[in-house]
Amino acid sequence: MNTQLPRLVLALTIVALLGYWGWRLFSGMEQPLREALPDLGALASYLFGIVGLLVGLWLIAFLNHRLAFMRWMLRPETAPFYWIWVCVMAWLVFELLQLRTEAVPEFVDENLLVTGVLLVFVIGYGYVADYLRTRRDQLRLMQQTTEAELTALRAQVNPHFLFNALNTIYNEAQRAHNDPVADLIGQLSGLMRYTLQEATRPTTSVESELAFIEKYVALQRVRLPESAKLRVTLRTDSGGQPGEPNPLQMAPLLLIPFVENAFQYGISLEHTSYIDINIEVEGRQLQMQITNSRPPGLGQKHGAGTGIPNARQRLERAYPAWHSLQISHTDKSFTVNLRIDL
Amino acid sequence: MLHAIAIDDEPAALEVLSRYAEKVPFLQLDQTFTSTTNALTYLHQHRVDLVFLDIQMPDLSGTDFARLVAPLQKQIVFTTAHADYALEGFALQALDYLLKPIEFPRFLQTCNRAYAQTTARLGQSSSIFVKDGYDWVRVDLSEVLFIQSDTNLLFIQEQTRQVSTRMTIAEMLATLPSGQFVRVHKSYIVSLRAIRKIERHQLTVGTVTIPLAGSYREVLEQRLLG
Repeated sequence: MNTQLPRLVLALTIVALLGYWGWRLFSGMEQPLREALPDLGALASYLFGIVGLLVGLWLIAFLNHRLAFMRWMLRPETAPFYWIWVCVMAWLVFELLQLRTEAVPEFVDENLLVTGVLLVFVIGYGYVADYLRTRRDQLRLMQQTTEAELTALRAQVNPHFLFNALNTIYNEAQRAHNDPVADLIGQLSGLMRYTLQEATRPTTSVESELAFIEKYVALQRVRLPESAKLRVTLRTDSGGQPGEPNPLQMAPLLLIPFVENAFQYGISLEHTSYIDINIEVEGRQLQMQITNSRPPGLGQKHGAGTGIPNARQRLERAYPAWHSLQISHTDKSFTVNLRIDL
Repeated sequence: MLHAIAIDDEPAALEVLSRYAEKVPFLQLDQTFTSTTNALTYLHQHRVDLVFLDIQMPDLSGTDFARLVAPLQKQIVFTTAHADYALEGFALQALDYLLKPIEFPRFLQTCNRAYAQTTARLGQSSSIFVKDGYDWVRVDLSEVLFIQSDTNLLFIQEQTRQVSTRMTIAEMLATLPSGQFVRVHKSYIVSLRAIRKIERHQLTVGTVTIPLAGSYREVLEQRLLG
Protein backbone atom coordinates (compact mmCIF):
# COMPACT_ATOMS: atom_id res chain seq x y z
CA MET A 1 0.00 0.00 0.00
CA ASN A 2 2.77 2.36 0.98
CA THR A 3 4.71 1.80 -2.22
CA GLN A 4 1.60 1.87 -4.40
CA LEU A 5 0.50 5.38 -3.48
CA PRO A 6 3.57 7.37 -4.59
CA ARG A 7 3.60 5.44 -7.87
CA LEU A 8 -0.02 6.32 -8.51
CA VAL A 9 0.71 9.98 -7.77
CA LEU A 10 3.68 9.88 -10.13
CA ALA A 11 1.60 8.37 -12.95
CA LEU A 12 -1.09 11.02 -12.40
CA THR A 13 1.50 13.79 -12.43
CA ILE A 14 2.99 12.58 -15.70
CA VAL A 15 -0.42 12.25 -17.32
CA ALA A 16 -1.38 15.71 -16.07
CA LEU A 17 1.84 17.27 -17.34
CA LEU A 18 1.62 15.65 -20.78
CA GLY A 19 -2.09 16.46 -20.94
CA TYR A 20 -1.38 20.09 -20.09
CA TRP A 21 1.35 20.39 -22.72
CA GLY A 22 -0.82 18.64 -25.28
CA TRP A 23 -3.69 21.00 -24.50
CA ARG A 24 -1.35 24.01 -24.74
CA LEU A 25 0.00 22.80 -28.05
CA PHE A 26 -3.48 22.10 -29.34
CA SER A 27 -4.92 25.47 -28.24
CA GLY A 28 -2.03 27.29 -29.93
CA MET A 29 -2.67 25.30 -33.07
CA GLU A 30 -6.42 25.61 -32.84
CA GLN A 31 -6.72 28.43 -35.28
CA PRO A 32 -4.54 27.06 -38.09
CA LEU A 33 -5.89 23.63 -37.37
CA ARG A 34 -9.41 24.71 -37.87
CA GLU A 35 -8.48 26.26 -41.15
CA ALA A 36 -6.77 23.13 -42.35
CA LEU A 37 -9.03 20.66 -40.64
CA PRO A 38 -9.00 18.09 -43.42
CA ASP A 39 -5.21 18.17 -43.40
CA LEU A 40 -4.73 15.96 -40.34
CA GLY A 41 -1.67 14.37 -41.89
CA ALA A 42 0.27 17.61 -41.50
CA LEU A 43 -0.53 17.74 -37.78
CA ALA A 44 0.51 14.13 -37.33
CA SER A 45 3.78 14.67 -39.13
CA TYR A 46 4.37 17.81 -37.06
CA LEU A 47 3.82 15.88 -33.82
CA PHE A 48 5.88 13.00 -35.09
CA GLY A 49 8.60 15.47 -35.91
CA ILE A 50 8.72 16.75 -32.36
CA VAL A 51 8.66 13.27 -30.82
CA GLY A 52 11.27 12.08 -33.32
CA LEU A 53 13.49 15.04 -32.53
CA LEU A 54 13.27 14.35 -28.78
CA VAL A 55 13.93 10.65 -29.24
CA GLY A 56 16.84 11.40 -31.57
CA LEU A 57 18.31 13.87 -29.12
CA TRP A 58 18.01 11.41 -26.26
CA LEU A 59 19.52 8.64 -28.40
CA ILE A 60 22.49 10.80 -29.33
CA ALA A 61 23.04 11.74 -25.71
CA PHE A 62 22.68 8.14 -24.59
CA LEU A 63 25.09 6.79 -27.19
CA ASN A 64 27.51 9.58 -26.48
CA HIS A 65 27.54 8.64 -22.80
CA ARG A 66 27.84 4.91 -23.41
CA LEU A 67 30.40 4.94 -26.20
CA ALA A 68 32.43 8.10 -25.71
CA PHE A 69 32.02 9.27 -22.12
CA MET A 70 32.47 5.83 -20.53
CA ARG A 71 35.45 5.07 -22.71
CA TRP A 72 37.43 8.26 -22.30
CA MET A 73 36.15 10.44 -19.48
CA LEU A 74 36.73 7.99 -16.66
CA ARG A 75 40.50 8.41 -16.83
CA PRO A 76 42.07 11.88 -16.82
CA GLU A 77 44.73 10.98 -19.39
CA THR A 78 42.12 10.06 -22.02
CA ALA A 79 39.65 12.85 -21.18
CA PRO A 80 40.94 15.12 -24.01
CA PHE A 81 39.79 12.47 -26.52
CA TYR A 82 36.27 12.92 -25.26
CA TRP A 83 36.38 16.67 -25.73
CA ILE A 84 37.90 16.22 -29.19
CA TRP A 85 35.02 13.91 -30.00
CA VAL A 86 32.50 16.44 -28.66
CA CYS A 87 34.02 19.12 -30.93
CA VAL A 88 33.85 16.80 -33.93
CA MET A 89 30.25 15.97 -33.11
CA ALA A 90 29.38 19.65 -32.78
CA TRP A 91 30.94 20.36 -36.13
CA LEU A 92 29.04 17.47 -37.73
CA VAL A 93 25.72 18.62 -36.26
CA PHE A 94 26.36 22.16 -37.39
CA GLU A 95 27.23 21.04 -40.93
CA LEU A 96 24.10 18.86 -40.97
CA LEU A 97 21.97 21.85 -40.00
CA GLN A 98 23.72 23.98 -42.59
CA LEU A 99 22.94 21.37 -45.20
CA ARG A 100 19.31 21.41 -44.15
CA THR A 101 19.07 25.19 -44.45
CA GLU A 102 21.01 25.07 -47.72
CA ALA A 103 23.87 27.09 -46.22
CA VAL A 104 21.95 30.37 -46.34
CA PRO A 105 24.10 32.89 -44.35
CA GLU A 106 21.07 34.26 -42.42
CA PHE A 107 20.55 30.91 -40.73
CA VAL A 108 24.12 30.53 -39.42
CA ASP A 109 23.38 32.11 -36.04
CA GLU A 110 20.21 30.04 -35.64
CA ASN A 111 22.09 26.85 -36.50
CA LEU A 112 24.82 27.77 -34.04
CA LEU A 113 22.21 28.25 -31.34
CA VAL A 114 20.59 24.86 -32.02
CA THR A 115 23.98 23.17 -32.03
CA GLY A 116 24.80 24.86 -28.76
CA VAL A 117 21.60 23.70 -27.09
CA LEU A 118 22.19 20.19 -28.34
CA LEU A 119 25.75 20.23 -27.06
CA VAL A 120 24.75 21.44 -23.63
CA PHE A 121 22.12 18.70 -23.43
CA VAL A 122 24.50 15.97 -24.55
CA ILE A 123 27.31 17.04 -22.23
CA GLY A 124 24.91 17.52 -19.34
CA TYR A 125 23.39 14.12 -19.95
CA GLY A 126 26.85 12.58 -19.82
CA TYR A 127 27.61 14.08 -16.44
CA VAL A 128 24.24 13.32 -14.90
CA ALA A 129 24.27 9.71 -16.14
CA ASP A 130 27.79 9.27 -14.82
CA TYR A 131 26.86 10.69 -11.45
CA LEU A 132 23.91 8.32 -11.20
CA ARG A 133 26.08 5.38 -12.20
CA THR A 134 28.78 6.08 -9.62
CA ARG A 135 26.21 6.64 -6.92
CA ARG A 136 24.57 3.33 -7.68
CA ASP A 137 27.95 1.57 -7.62
CA GLN A 138 28.84 3.28 -4.37
CA LEU A 139 25.62 2.21 -2.75
CA ARG A 140 26.16 -1.37 -3.84
CA LEU A 141 29.74 -1.31 -2.64
CA MET A 142 28.70 0.09 0.70
CA GLN A 143 26.11 -2.61 1.08
CA GLN A 144 28.66 -5.27 0.21
CA THR A 145 31.24 -3.98 2.67
CA THR A 146 28.66 -3.80 5.40
CA GLU A 147 27.68 -7.39 4.73
CA ALA A 148 31.31 -8.52 4.62
CA GLU A 149 32.05 -6.71 7.86
CA LEU A 150 29.05 -8.28 9.51
CA THR A 151 30.11 -11.78 8.50
CA ALA A 152 33.63 -11.09 9.64
CA LEU A 153 32.35 -9.83 12.96
CA ARG A 154 30.16 -12.83 13.40
CA ALA A 155 33.07 -15.19 12.72
CA GLN A 156 35.24 -13.30 15.11
CA VAL A 157 34.02 -14.42 18.47
CA ASN A 158 37.73 -14.37 19.16
CA PRO A 159 38.77 -17.97 18.45
CA HIS A 160 41.54 -17.89 21.02
CA PHE A 161 39.06 -17.06 23.70
CA LEU A 162 36.56 -19.63 22.44
CA PHE A 163 38.96 -22.55 22.33
CA ASN A 164 40.68 -21.63 25.58
CA ALA A 165 37.27 -21.50 27.22
CA LEU A 166 36.39 -24.89 25.76
CA ASN A 167 39.70 -26.20 27.05
CA THR A 168 38.88 -24.98 30.55
CA ILE A 169 35.49 -26.70 30.42
CA TYR A 170 37.20 -29.81 29.09
CA ASN A 171 39.54 -29.76 32.07
CA GLU A 172 36.65 -29.34 34.50
CA ALA A 173 34.78 -32.27 32.97
CA GLN A 174 37.88 -34.45 33.29
CA ARG A 175 38.44 -33.35 36.86
CA ALA A 176 34.94 -34.45 37.67
CA HIS A 177 35.74 -37.78 35.96
CA ASN A 178 33.03 -37.13 33.46
CA ASP A 179 34.75 -38.57 30.42
CA PRO A 180 31.72 -38.66 28.12
CA VAL A 181 31.24 -34.92 28.55
CA ALA A 182 34.94 -34.27 28.07
CA ASP A 183 34.92 -36.32 24.86
CA LEU A 184 31.91 -34.43 23.57
CA ILE A 185 33.60 -31.10 24.23
CA GLY A 186 36.65 -32.38 22.39
CA GLN A 187 34.55 -33.34 19.42
CA LEU A 188 32.60 -30.12 19.44
CA SER A 189 35.84 -28.11 19.52
CA GLY A 190 37.10 -30.08 16.55
CA LEU A 191 33.92 -29.37 14.60
CA MET A 192 34.04 -25.68 15.40
CA ARG A 193 37.71 -25.39 14.64
CA TYR A 194 37.16 -26.98 11.26
CA THR A 195 34.20 -24.85 10.25
CA LEU A 196 35.73 -21.63 11.59
CA GLN A 197 39.16 -22.14 10.18
CA GLU A 198 39.94 -24.93 7.77
CA ALA A 199 36.73 -24.60 5.81
CA THR A 200 37.38 -20.96 5.01
CA ARG A 201 40.37 -21.95 2.93
CA PRO A 202 39.91 -23.02 -0.69
CA THR A 203 41.29 -26.49 -0.03
CA THR A 204 42.01 -28.62 2.99
CA SER A 205 43.65 -31.98 3.52
CA VAL A 206 41.54 -35.07 2.94
CA GLU A 207 42.59 -36.18 6.43
CA SER A 208 41.01 -33.21 8.16
CA GLU A 209 37.81 -33.43 6.13
CA LEU A 210 37.44 -37.08 7.16
CA ALA A 211 38.27 -36.26 10.79
CA PHE A 212 35.58 -33.60 10.65
CA ILE A 213 33.00 -36.12 9.45
CA GLU A 214 34.06 -38.56 12.18
CA LYS A 215 33.48 -35.91 14.84
CA TYR A 216 30.16 -34.90 13.32
CA VAL A 217 28.91 -38.48 13.27
CA ALA A 218 30.17 -39.07 16.82
CA LEU A 219 28.24 -36.03 18.06
CA GLN A 220 25.11 -37.06 16.18
CA ARG A 221 25.35 -40.57 17.56
CA VAL A 222 25.32 -39.39 21.18
CA ARG A 223 22.14 -37.49 20.53
CA LEU A 224 20.42 -40.71 19.53
CA PRO A 225 19.25 -43.29 22.04
CA GLU A 226 21.02 -46.63 22.35
CA SER A 227 18.64 -49.03 20.70
CA ALA A 228 18.78 -52.31 18.86
CA LYS A 229 16.54 -50.78 16.23
CA LEU A 230 19.09 -48.15 15.40
CA ARG A 231 22.37 -48.60 13.58
CA VAL A 232 24.92 -45.98 12.61
CA THR A 233 28.20 -47.11 11.11
CA LEU A 234 31.02 -45.02 9.75
CA ARG A 235 34.20 -46.21 8.13
CA THR A 236 36.77 -43.79 6.81
CA ASP A 237 40.16 -44.42 5.28
CA SER A 238 42.28 -41.60 3.94
CA GLY A 239 44.74 -44.03 2.38
CA GLY A 240 47.80 -42.39 3.95
CA GLN A 241 51.23 -43.85 4.64
CA PRO A 242 52.91 -44.32 8.03
CA GLY A 243 54.36 -41.09 9.39
CA GLU A 244 53.04 -39.10 6.48
CA PRO A 245 49.39 -38.28 6.40
CA ASN A 246 47.71 -38.28 3.06
CA PRO A 247 49.00 -35.21 1.21
CA LEU A 248 45.92 -35.03 -0.99
CA GLN A 249 43.90 -31.84 -0.82
CA MET A 250 40.23 -31.32 -1.48
CA ALA A 251 37.62 -28.57 -1.39
CA PRO A 252 36.26 -28.46 2.17
CA LEU A 253 32.75 -29.39 3.34
CA LEU A 254 31.83 -31.21 0.13
CA LEU A 255 30.87 -34.46 1.82
CA ILE A 256 29.07 -33.28 4.93
CA PRO A 257 25.75 -32.28 3.24
CA PHE A 258 25.17 -35.89 2.27
CA VAL A 259 25.95 -37.08 5.79
CA GLU A 260 23.68 -34.43 7.29
CA ASN A 261 20.95 -35.46 4.90
CA ALA A 262 21.23 -39.07 6.01
CA PHE A 263 20.77 -38.06 9.64
CA GLN A 264 17.88 -35.78 8.81
CA TYR A 265 15.85 -38.23 6.78
CA GLY A 266 17.23 -41.64 7.69
CA ILE A 267 16.67 -41.87 11.42
CA SER A 268 13.45 -42.70 13.17
CA LEU A 269 12.96 -43.36 16.83
CA GLU A 270 9.97 -45.65 16.31
CA HIS A 271 10.95 -47.76 13.34
CA THR A 272 14.05 -49.77 12.58
CA SER A 273 16.50 -47.43 10.90
CA TYR A 274 20.12 -47.31 9.91
CA ILE A 275 22.86 -45.21 8.34
CA ASP A 276 25.95 -46.79 6.84
CA ILE A 277 28.71 -44.50 5.68
CA ASN A 278 31.87 -45.61 4.00
CA ILE A 279 34.49 -43.17 2.75
CA GLU A 280 37.69 -44.41 1.21
CA VAL A 281 40.61 -42.88 -0.60
CA GLU A 282 42.62 -45.08 -2.90
CA GLY A 283 45.33 -43.49 -4.95
CA ARG A 284 43.84 -40.17 -5.98
CA GLN A 285 40.26 -41.34 -5.93
CA LEU A 286 37.83 -40.60 -3.15
CA GLN A 287 34.80 -42.80 -2.88
CA MET A 288 31.87 -42.25 -0.59
CA GLN A 289 28.86 -44.45 -0.13
CA ILE A 290 26.02 -43.57 2.17
CA THR A 291 23.04 -45.82 2.60
CA ASN A 292 20.25 -44.98 4.94
CA SER A 293 16.79 -46.25 5.68
CA ARG A 294 13.71 -44.25 4.75
CA PRO A 295 11.47 -44.75 7.74
CA PRO A 296 7.78 -44.19 7.03
CA GLY A 297 6.54 -40.75 7.98
CA LEU A 298 9.87 -39.05 7.39
CA GLY A 299 9.73 -39.75 3.68
CA GLN A 300 7.33 -36.88 2.98
CA LYS A 301 9.85 -34.40 4.28
CA HIS A 302 12.17 -35.35 1.48
CA GLY A 303 12.83 -32.73 -1.16
CA ALA A 304 12.27 -29.78 1.13
CA GLY A 305 15.97 -29.40 1.87
CA THR A 306 18.42 -27.36 -0.13
CA GLY A 307 21.46 -29.27 1.12
CA ILE A 308 21.77 -31.77 -1.70
CA PRO A 309 21.21 -29.35 -4.62
CA ASN A 310 23.76 -26.99 -3.05
CA ALA A 311 26.25 -29.80 -2.62
CA ARG A 312 25.70 -30.83 -6.22
CA GLN A 313 26.39 -27.27 -7.37
CA ARG A 314 29.57 -27.04 -5.33
CA LEU A 315 30.76 -30.35 -6.74
CA GLU A 316 30.10 -29.07 -10.25
CA ARG A 317 32.16 -26.00 -9.55
CA ALA A 318 35.06 -27.66 -7.71
CA TYR A 319 35.41 -30.83 -9.76
CA PRO A 320 33.50 -30.21 -13.00
CA ALA A 321 34.71 -33.23 -14.95
CA TRP A 322 36.18 -35.27 -12.18
CA HIS A 323 33.28 -36.49 -10.16
CA SER A 324 30.28 -38.72 -10.45
CA LEU A 325 27.31 -38.53 -8.14
CA GLN A 326 24.56 -41.10 -8.12
CA ILE A 327 21.59 -40.78 -5.86
CA SER A 328 19.06 -43.54 -5.89
CA HIS A 329 16.27 -44.59 -3.63
CA THR A 330 13.70 -47.27 -3.11
CA ASP A 331 10.73 -47.17 -0.76
CA LYS A 332 12.91 -48.45 2.05
CA SER A 333 16.35 -47.01 1.46
CA PHE A 334 18.27 -44.07 0.12
CA THR A 335 21.74 -44.40 -1.39
CA VAL A 336 24.35 -41.84 -2.35
CA ASN A 337 27.37 -42.88 -4.35
CA LEU A 338 29.98 -40.22 -4.86
CA ARG A 339 33.33 -40.55 -6.56
CA ILE A 340 35.80 -37.68 -6.90
CA ASP A 341 39.14 -37.74 -8.67
CA LEU A 342 41.16 -35.40 -6.50
CA MET B 1 61.67 -43.03 30.33
CA LEU B 2 60.96 -39.70 28.67
CA HIS B 3 61.47 -36.60 30.78
CA ALA B 4 59.15 -33.78 29.92
CA ILE B 5 58.15 -30.32 31.06
CA ALA B 6 55.10 -28.26 30.11
CA ILE B 7 54.80 -24.49 29.82
CA ASP B 8 51.43 -22.77 29.64
CA ASP B 9 50.06 -19.61 31.19
CA GLU B 10 46.73 -21.31 31.90
CA PRO B 11 46.71 -23.71 34.86
CA ALA B 12 43.76 -25.62 33.38
CA ALA B 13 45.80 -26.55 30.32
CA LEU B 14 48.66 -27.77 32.54
CA GLU B 15 46.23 -29.86 34.56
CA VAL B 16 45.07 -31.68 31.44
CA LEU B 17 48.65 -32.43 30.43
CA SER B 18 49.59 -33.65 33.93
CA ARG B 19 46.60 -35.93 34.04
CA TYR B 20 47.48 -37.42 30.66
CA ALA B 21 51.16 -37.78 31.52
CA GLU B 22 50.21 -39.92 34.50
CA LYS B 23 48.50 -42.35 32.17
CA VAL B 24 51.51 -42.76 29.88
CA PRO B 25 53.96 -45.24 31.45
CA PHE B 26 57.05 -44.07 29.60
CA LEU B 27 56.52 -40.36 30.14
CA GLN B 28 57.39 -38.40 33.25
CA LEU B 29 56.19 -34.84 33.42
CA ASP B 30 58.82 -33.52 35.86
CA GLN B 31 57.71 -29.90 36.07
CA THR B 32 55.05 -27.55 34.81
CA PHE B 33 55.57 -23.80 34.40
CA THR B 34 53.23 -20.89 33.97
CA SER B 35 56.02 -18.64 32.76
CA THR B 36 58.94 -19.12 30.41
CA THR B 37 61.53 -17.52 32.72
CA ASN B 38 61.64 -20.31 35.29
CA ALA B 39 61.41 -22.92 32.56
CA LEU B 40 64.53 -21.56 30.90
CA THR B 41 66.64 -21.99 34.03
CA TYR B 42 65.22 -25.47 34.58
CA LEU B 43 65.98 -26.49 31.00
CA HIS B 44 69.63 -25.65 31.47
CA GLN B 45 69.98 -27.60 34.68
CA HIS B 46 68.01 -30.79 34.17
CA ARG B 47 67.57 -33.56 31.68
CA VAL B 48 64.56 -32.79 29.50
CA ASP B 49 63.65 -34.75 26.37
CA LEU B 50 60.35 -33.18 25.54
CA VAL B 51 58.83 -29.72 26.01
CA PHE B 52 55.11 -29.07 25.75
CA LEU B 53 54.90 -25.43 24.88
CA ASP B 54 51.90 -23.13 24.63
CA ILE B 55 52.13 -20.53 21.88
CA GLN B 56 50.03 -17.63 23.15
CA MET B 57 51.66 -16.50 26.35
CA PRO B 58 51.84 -12.97 27.73
CA ASP B 59 55.60 -12.46 28.27
CA LEU B 60 57.25 -14.49 25.57
CA SER B 61 55.43 -16.39 22.85
CA GLY B 62 55.99 -20.11 22.51
CA THR B 63 57.60 -19.72 19.13
CA ASP B 64 60.07 -17.14 20.45
CA PHE B 65 60.87 -19.40 23.37
CA ALA B 66 61.43 -22.31 20.97
CA ARG B 67 63.86 -20.18 18.97
CA LEU B 68 65.64 -19.26 22.17
CA VAL B 69 66.16 -22.85 23.27
CA ALA B 70 66.82 -24.20 19.77
CA PRO B 71 70.55 -24.74 20.53
CA LEU B 72 69.59 -27.14 23.35
CA GLN B 73 67.98 -29.42 20.75
CA LYS B 74 64.97 -30.40 22.81
CA GLN B 75 61.96 -31.99 21.17
CA ILE B 76 59.27 -29.34 21.13
CA VAL B 77 55.54 -29.98 21.01
CA PHE B 78 53.44 -26.86 20.51
CA THR B 79 50.09 -26.71 22.23
CA THR B 80 47.70 -24.03 21.14
CA ALA B 81 44.06 -23.13 21.41
CA HIS B 82 43.83 -21.82 17.93
CA ALA B 83 45.97 -22.82 14.99
CA ASP B 84 47.70 -20.01 13.22
CA TYR B 85 48.63 -21.02 9.76
CA ALA B 86 51.54 -18.64 9.50
CA LEU B 87 53.06 -20.93 12.07
CA GLU B 88 52.83 -24.09 10.06
CA GLY B 89 56.22 -23.70 8.46
CA PHE B 90 57.87 -23.16 11.79
CA ALA B 91 55.95 -25.92 13.47
CA LEU B 92 57.45 -28.38 11.03
CA GLN B 93 60.70 -28.08 12.94
CA ALA B 94 58.80 -29.00 16.06
CA LEU B 95 57.95 -32.60 16.79
CA ASP B 96 54.22 -31.98 16.82
CA TYR B 97 51.43 -29.50 17.08
CA LEU B 98 48.57 -30.20 19.50
CA LEU B 99 45.31 -28.27 19.35
CA LYS B 100 43.42 -27.65 22.59
CA PRO B 101 41.38 -29.25 23.95
CA ILE B 102 43.89 -32.03 23.47
CA GLU B 103 42.37 -35.49 23.45
CA PHE B 104 44.21 -38.39 24.98
CA PRO B 105 44.72 -40.61 21.89
CA ARG B 106 46.27 -37.63 20.11
CA PHE B 107 48.49 -36.93 23.13
CA LEU B 108 49.60 -40.56 23.23
CA GLN B 109 50.47 -40.43 19.53
CA THR B 110 52.79 -37.50 20.17
CA CYS B 111 54.41 -39.20 23.14
CA ASN B 112 54.99 -42.35 21.13
CA ARG B 113 56.53 -40.36 18.34
CA ALA B 114 58.81 -38.61 20.83
CA TYR B 115 59.68 -41.93 22.43
CA ALA B 116 60.55 -43.55 19.10
CA GLN B 117 62.76 -40.60 18.19
CA THR B 118 64.49 -40.46 21.55
CA THR B 119 65.26 -44.17 21.66
CA ALA B 120 66.54 -43.95 18.09
CA ARG B 121 68.75 -41.00 19.02
CA LEU B 122 70.20 -42.92 21.98
CA GLY B 123 71.29 -45.62 19.59
CA GLN B 124 68.63 -48.08 20.71
CA SER B 125 66.15 -49.43 18.26
CA SER B 126 63.06 -47.23 18.25
CA SER B 127 59.95 -48.47 19.94
CA ILE B 128 56.44 -47.43 20.86
CA PHE B 129 53.98 -48.36 23.59
CA VAL B 130 50.52 -49.68 22.86
CA LYS B 131 47.73 -50.72 25.16
CA ASP B 132 46.72 -54.38 25.14
CA GLY B 133 43.65 -54.53 27.32
CA TYR B 134 44.83 -52.90 30.57
CA ASP B 135 48.53 -53.55 29.94
CA TRP B 136 51.02 -51.33 28.25
CA VAL B 137 53.14 -53.32 25.83
CA ARG B 138 56.42 -52.08 24.46
CA VAL B 139 56.75 -52.79 20.77
CA ASP B 140 60.22 -52.72 19.30
CA LEU B 141 59.64 -51.38 15.81
CA SER B 142 62.57 -53.28 14.34
CA GLU B 143 60.94 -56.56 15.42
CA VAL B 144 57.63 -55.83 13.75
CA LEU B 145 56.87 -57.78 10.59
CA PHE B 146 53.48 -56.34 9.76
CA ILE B 147 50.40 -54.78 11.28
CA GLN B 148 46.91 -55.89 10.40
CA SER B 149 43.72 -54.03 11.16
CA ASP B 150 40.35 -55.57 11.79
CA THR B 151 37.63 -52.95 12.37
CA ASN B 152 38.74 -51.37 15.68
CA LEU B 153 41.49 -53.84 16.57
CA LEU B 154 45.07 -53.83 15.38
CA PHE B 155 47.26 -56.94 15.40
CA ILE B 156 50.97 -56.24 15.53
CA GLN B 157 52.88 -59.27 14.31
CA GLU B 158 56.43 -59.73 15.54
CA GLN B 159 58.82 -62.64 14.98
CA THR B 160 57.78 -64.40 18.13
CA ARG B 161 54.55 -62.83 19.33
CA GLN B 162 51.42 -61.02 18.33
CA VAL B 163 50.17 -57.93 20.14
CA SER B 164 46.59 -56.80 19.76
CA THR B 165 45.51 -53.30 20.61
CA ARG B 166 42.42 -51.18 20.35
CA MET B 167 43.39 -48.65 17.73
CA THR B 168 42.38 -47.64 14.25
CA ILE B 169 44.77 -47.96 11.38
CA ALA B 170 44.67 -44.17 10.97
CA GLU B 171 45.93 -43.76 14.55
CA MET B 172 48.70 -46.26 13.93
CA LEU B 173 49.70 -44.48 10.72
CA ALA B 174 50.04 -41.26 12.69
CA THR B 175 52.07 -42.96 15.44
CA LEU B 176 54.62 -44.78 13.30
CA PRO B 177 57.68 -42.91 12.11
CA SER B 178 58.04 -42.49 8.38
CA GLY B 179 60.51 -44.51 6.35
CA GLN B 180 60.51 -47.81 8.14
CA PHE B 181 57.01 -48.94 7.29
CA VAL B 182 54.81 -48.92 4.23
CA ARG B 183 51.12 -49.40 3.80
CA VAL B 184 50.29 -51.98 1.15
CA HIS B 185 46.58 -52.50 1.64
CA LYS B 186 43.53 -51.02 3.31
CA SER B 187 44.21 -53.16 6.37
CA TYR B 188 47.95 -53.89 6.22
CA ILE B 189 51.10 -52.01 7.11
CA VAL B 190 54.34 -53.91 6.58
CA SER B 191 57.91 -53.33 7.66
CA LEU B 192 60.05 -52.61 4.60
CA ARG B 193 62.89 -54.69 6.00
CA ALA B 194 60.71 -57.72 6.54
CA ILE B 195 59.50 -58.05 2.97
CA ARG B 196 60.76 -61.27 1.44
CA LYS B 197 59.01 -61.40 -1.90
CA ILE B 198 56.78 -59.15 -3.98
CA GLU B 199 54.38 -60.59 -6.49
CA ARG B 200 51.79 -58.89 -8.62
CA HIS B 201 48.96 -58.83 -6.12
CA GLN B 202 50.60 -60.04 -2.94
CA LEU B 203 53.80 -60.01 -0.98
CA THR B 204 55.47 -62.29 1.50
CA VAL B 205 56.51 -61.02 4.89
CA GLY B 206 58.21 -63.60 7.07
CA THR B 207 56.20 -66.66 6.21
CA VAL B 208 52.91 -64.86 5.75
CA THR B 209 51.32 -63.79 2.47
CA ILE B 210 49.79 -60.33 2.50
CA PRO B 211 47.57 -58.80 -0.21
CA LEU B 212 49.02 -55.90 -2.17
CA ALA B 213 46.42 -53.39 -3.36
CA GLY B 214 46.97 -51.78 -6.74
CA SER B 215 46.75 -48.25 -5.46
CA TYR B 216 49.57 -48.83 -2.94
CA ARG B 217 51.88 -50.64 -5.35
CA GLU B 218 53.48 -47.47 -6.71
CA VAL B 219 54.37 -46.18 -3.23
CA LEU B 220 55.88 -49.54 -2.32
CA GLU B 221 58.05 -49.58 -5.42
CA GLN B 222 59.17 -46.02 -4.78
CA ARG B 223 60.14 -46.86 -1.22
CA LEU B 224 62.09 -49.94 -2.20
CA LEU B 225 63.99 -48.19 -4.99
CA GLY B 226 64.48 -44.83 -3.29
